Amino acid sequence: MFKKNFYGTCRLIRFNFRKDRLHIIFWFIALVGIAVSYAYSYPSMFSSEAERLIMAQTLNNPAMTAMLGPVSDPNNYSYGVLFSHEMLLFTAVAVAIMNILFVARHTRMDEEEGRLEMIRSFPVGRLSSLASTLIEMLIINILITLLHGIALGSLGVESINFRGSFFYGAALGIVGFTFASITSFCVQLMENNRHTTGMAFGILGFSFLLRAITDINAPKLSWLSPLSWSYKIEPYAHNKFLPILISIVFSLLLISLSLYLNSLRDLGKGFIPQKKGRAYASKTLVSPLGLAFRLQRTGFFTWIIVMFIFGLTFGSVFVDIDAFFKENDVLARLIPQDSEYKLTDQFIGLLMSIVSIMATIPVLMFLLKLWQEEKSGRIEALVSKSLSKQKLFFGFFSISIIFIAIASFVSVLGLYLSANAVLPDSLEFGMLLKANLVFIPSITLILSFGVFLIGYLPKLTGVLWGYLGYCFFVIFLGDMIQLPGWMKKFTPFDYIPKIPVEEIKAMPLVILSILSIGFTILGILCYRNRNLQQNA
Amino acid sequence: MNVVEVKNVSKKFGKFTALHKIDLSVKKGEVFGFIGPNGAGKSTTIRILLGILKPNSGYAKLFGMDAWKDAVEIHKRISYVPGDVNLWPNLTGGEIIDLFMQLQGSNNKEKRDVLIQKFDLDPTKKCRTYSKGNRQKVALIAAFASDADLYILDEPTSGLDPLMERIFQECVEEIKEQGKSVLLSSHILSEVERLCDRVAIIREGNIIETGSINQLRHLTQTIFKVETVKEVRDLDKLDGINDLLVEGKHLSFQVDNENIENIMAYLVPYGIKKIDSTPPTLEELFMRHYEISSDEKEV
Repeated sequence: MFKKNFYGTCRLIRFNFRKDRLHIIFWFIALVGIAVSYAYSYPSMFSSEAERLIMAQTLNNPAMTAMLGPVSDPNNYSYGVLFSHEMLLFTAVAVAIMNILFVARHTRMDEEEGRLEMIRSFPVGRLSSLASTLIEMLIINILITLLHGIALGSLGVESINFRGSFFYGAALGIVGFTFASITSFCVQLMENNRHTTGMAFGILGFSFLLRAITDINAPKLSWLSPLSWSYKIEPYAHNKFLPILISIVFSLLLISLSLYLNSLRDLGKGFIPQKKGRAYASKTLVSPLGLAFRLQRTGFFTWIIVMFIFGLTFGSVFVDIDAFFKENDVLARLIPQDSEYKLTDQFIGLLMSIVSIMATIPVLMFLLKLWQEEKSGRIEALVSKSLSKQKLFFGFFSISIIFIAIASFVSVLGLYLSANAVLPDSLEFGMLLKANLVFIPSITLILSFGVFLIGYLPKLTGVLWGYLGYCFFVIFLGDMIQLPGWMKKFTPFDYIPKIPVEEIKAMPLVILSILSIGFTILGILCYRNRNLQQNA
Repeated sequence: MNVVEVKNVSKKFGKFTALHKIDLSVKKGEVFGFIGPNGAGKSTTIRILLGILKPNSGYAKLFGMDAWKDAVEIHKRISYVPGDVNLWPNLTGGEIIDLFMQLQGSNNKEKRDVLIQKFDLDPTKKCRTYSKGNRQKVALIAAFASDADLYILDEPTSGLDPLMERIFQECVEEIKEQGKSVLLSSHILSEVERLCDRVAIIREGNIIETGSINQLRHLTQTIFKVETVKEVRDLDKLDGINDLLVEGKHLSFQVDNENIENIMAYLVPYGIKKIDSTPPTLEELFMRHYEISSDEKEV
């Protein structure tokens, strides 16, 4: 029976690697490349131990703990500890995303598209598809572990030794594989690929929030979040085995459950049945805006909730900052003494820029949906009716614009509510809103880049995600790891005045707005004059 | 010996009954047609044969082995082409043909290349650029190049042009000559009529008719066009006459096959100048079956 269920698994594993080879190489280069270049630059950035200690204390506050996880060893803040504190959690999230995407693509997507049916018509066991995918992920995650261990270990940076580096790699590998098994479970419940990845990403997001909150208030409870297992290994400090063990046991249990559920269900079905839809189109559907909205309704509301929670999380952590900094002599020196503003106020600008970068993700997604629809040939069906391309375009564009407005308000509301719950009357709503609204021109600028690319070179729209990643990287980590200042000049977010510390300056806002409008108009003109593309 | 043997198979999806106690058999060396409207249960039946779905009752056997339990063994001897072929967008057609053949356990490069040429497929293109017809060709080439004893084809020509459809028919005939069996589910009735030895008609999860095409014709009516010397009277009062059209001495009508004798006898005295009879096409058979069933439904 065992042999029958898993017949042909080896062949499928080879086939999976054949399909994925480019993806895998891309991920490996990106992950290891960033880790190595980071770790390598530390000795030149922080030459003395005193500098590292200052850094440790800068990072060891509630806001940073929420974002990066706790410092594993505050007393011995070596290069290794510093490196893993800054890099590990975010890299682990990236590895988790990679695992979710790979597993969903090879299992539920193949099943949904009918490719699994084709595979199953060959002498292949019932569970071979799921098993081959999970074994492929196991191998990939082991490779991630080994590559990080070897690459980081051989850099020869003081305290970044082989032993710690292999634990660092293992921290990424176990989180990756845990999320591979979580996804394999979601596949059994959900009937289509969108819901499967949605559920898996939901669990990932929840894990991040859970560990952010528990790391600050109740570190023991953060064991409940699989993401915490990465930094609980404490690479370069204590190199603990326990989290590795827990994740292996957890993954094996979950995989057994997934295989069992998979053997029970019919092909193409999930344990959570899909809802039935409407038999007739509602009135709102029958307009470009209505259509654009209906297609993305779930995403639209989900992102509004995400923005609100994001605001809540930020609000709850950064109120403590003032007290924390006052108690700490070393850090007190970092704050300009003559500043009339509280430290909290100085953080608002940074927080708002991060909130805005976050909000840009869905804004771009809603716009780029138009290109996705075009690629799949569905736009053709619409344009062949009496509906012009421009009208359709404005439908999708409007969703993005409406979202910008709602997202600003909602995230500020979340921030305001949680901040004032912790410390009454600490922050003014109007001031927060103003601090957030000034970022709108930078969001619209990136949106207008999107419009321009859709019109001019739609195949390159993927570049926008890379650019947005760059913005986040430079704005969020730029000061912390002391990147050169010019790197910030390439992001629109840097030109925005940081309220309340800085005065509102009209010039940058006006220039960004004019650029936004310019790129948008240019993009629309190109879009109107170009052919529809399909199967691109 | 029956290559396919389905007995009493029912399949439910939740409350919905997709198949209702169906029986089906395909003999060795025979091309068996499987026809029915959308949603009648053709693909469900085929998935049960492939061991992808488990029947709620009854059994399905291929080569005498159980379709669900012995799926792996059975699949070494079959080839399957689905109606809606989806392929991995980042692989080429040639790569997928090779993969499919390897998975099935065949390795006949020569046959593969001949078929690629016959079907006029460019195997170097990525699958994302293929049209529906080209994706179907990929699956058909892989299936026909494989060495199987039973070919299960689920509406395999729905995206092919007439030229390719003819090549498909040639391939099926070639297989048949080699003594292999084919289960062909199709909408294109002329294709079924040309290729199939026996046919089963399925509707709403029930097999409503099985038999050779000739047998099926006996169950129904023949169309007559007659020209007589004298005008015929009161023909409509006879039993078994349908769709009677009278234009002077020109008549056209349909007759239940069992009443042909009576009607001919009645017509002879009027002097038959010209007579033209056509057996019903499969399409008419098909439509008639549906009409009957929907009439029953209304009652």
